[in-house]
Amino acid sequence: MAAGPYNYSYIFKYIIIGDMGVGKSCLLHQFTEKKFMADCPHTIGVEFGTRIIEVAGQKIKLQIWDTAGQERFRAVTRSYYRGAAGALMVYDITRRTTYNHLSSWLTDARNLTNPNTVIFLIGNKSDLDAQRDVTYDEAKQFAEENGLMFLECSAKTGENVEDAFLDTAKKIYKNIQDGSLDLNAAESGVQHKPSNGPRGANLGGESSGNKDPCSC
Amino acid sequence: MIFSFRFKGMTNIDDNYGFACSKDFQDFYEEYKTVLAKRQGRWETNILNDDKAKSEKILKRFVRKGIPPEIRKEYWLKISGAEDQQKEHPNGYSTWKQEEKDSKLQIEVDKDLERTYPENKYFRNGNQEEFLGKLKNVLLVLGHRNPDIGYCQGFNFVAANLLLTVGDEEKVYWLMQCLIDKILPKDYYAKDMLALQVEQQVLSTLVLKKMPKIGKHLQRFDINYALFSTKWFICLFCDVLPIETANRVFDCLFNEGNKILVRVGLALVKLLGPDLLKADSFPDVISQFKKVEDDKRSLNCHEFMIAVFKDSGSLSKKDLEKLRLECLKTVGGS
Ligand SMILES: Nc1nc2c(ncn2[C@@H]2O[C@H](COP(=O)(O)OP(=O)(O)OP(=O)(O)O)[C@@H](O)[C@H]2O)c(=O)[nH]1
Ligand SMILES: [Mg+2]
Repeated sequence: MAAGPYNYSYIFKYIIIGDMGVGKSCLLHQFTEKKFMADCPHTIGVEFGTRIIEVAGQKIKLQIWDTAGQERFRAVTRSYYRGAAGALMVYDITRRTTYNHLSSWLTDARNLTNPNTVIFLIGNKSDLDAQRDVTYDEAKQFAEENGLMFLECSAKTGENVEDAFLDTAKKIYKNIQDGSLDLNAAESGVQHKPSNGPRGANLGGESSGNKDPCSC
Repeated sequence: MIFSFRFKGMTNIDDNYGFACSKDFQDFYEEYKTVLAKRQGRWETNILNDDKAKSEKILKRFVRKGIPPEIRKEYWLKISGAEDQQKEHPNGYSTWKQEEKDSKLQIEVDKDLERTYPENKYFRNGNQEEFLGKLKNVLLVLGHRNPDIGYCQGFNFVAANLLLTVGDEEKVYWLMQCLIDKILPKDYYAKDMLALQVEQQVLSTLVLKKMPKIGKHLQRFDINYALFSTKWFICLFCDVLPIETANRVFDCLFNEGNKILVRVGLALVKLLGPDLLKADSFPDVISQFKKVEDDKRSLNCHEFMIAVFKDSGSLSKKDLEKLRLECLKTVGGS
């Protein structure tokens, strides 16, 4: 990415969380490359992807952190929750254990992000309806009870993948517009960039959106 | 964009370990064959056919230049101490293999089996039963025998590299057990991942000290070392470096111990240094780190290993232990 005028006006940070093998990396790949990567290696630590989208005529760059699903890696991935504007929480509709673990993922997400972080629940592998182990209705109910947005998706066919990422962005954008998300707050997970503006002090690379000197 | 280079520029000729190899590797291998032949000769004259006990210093020098592939597996077992451990439990492995395993362990291992080197001919194309079967046994016995570690994602790549090199599953198990018991820092694979974070902190301290320009550049973009080095340290550079290079690292790991890990980390940072310095945004820096997995310079294992020992300069065991203790204070508090 060359320096110079920015062709987007916001950066939103996302994290993708959920048990190992639910398809987090495949969802990211489907969203950024529009392809299904069947032979995706498991994620050890954290991976990263970006894509520019448009919401209400504004170009927004999504910076997406894909985290390892195995529990022990949370020691390493936790620091990425901080400053996330959106969290995609994924389970596998064909494996109930991955659904049962959602409450612990949710606790982590709630404790480690800010109150305005938009949490989107994704039931992945909707193409495997024949092997379904979690019904749509119960997941929908879980989402409603916990105030989460929800869709069933397939990283394989691409079904609803685009929507999940975009709806999250729309919600974040709405929160900015109605003032419920304060961009100046440390760890809002959003950076505003005047498009075509010069590189200003706050634009010292896209390094740490929220590099707050006292946020240690 | 997402950064994956696993299948880029590969031809169909394989590298003896079952990976299709790139034109770059073939070119390098032509040269490396001469080096290997020379090393083989030197080993035969000076180590294998010479009854005089060799000083640690001489052996170290020889091992750093690469254990010849023909004798590598016996040597690994001998110098690591794995062979001695195995002798203490002659029927251990076969017994443990039969024992009932924890169900969570089985699920975790199963999930990663199919995701182990799908591009390698031994793990696919009709061979998979044999190789994946062995891999599964090793990982299950390892998790079973080390209940406080269980299965750590990444073990599959370590075990797979060792299997491709050593062949025998029981020996692979003992090599890994020996790594855990004797070679790696204490509690290296503990579930709290504290030792891993210490190693990352050590790396970041040494980068700042030995390559301040690169260190400061990374600081400027607020690059957390966990971001790029978690896989390096967890996988002991398997599936990060090409297998022959990873094996050269194993040579030193089994012979000299865990000091090699941070040294290899330093060499990788140094190797990427010019590209890192050119990168001027956070995503750009991260993408440079991803390049290591398909980099010509790490394919040339011989030069890479020379750089490993040159770049990090002298690093005594005592100094490293001291640094680790200091770093433990930094990461342990959080
Ligand atoms: N049928 C089907 N398979 C999928 C789908 N998404 C992912 N998979 C498969 O599920 C497996 C795991 O996918 P990953 O994306 O690696 O899972 P992950 O959540 O990133 O796993 P970790 O990195 O271990 O946490 C892979 O073998 C994929 O091929 C999907 O939508 N449908
Ligand atoms: Mg993943």
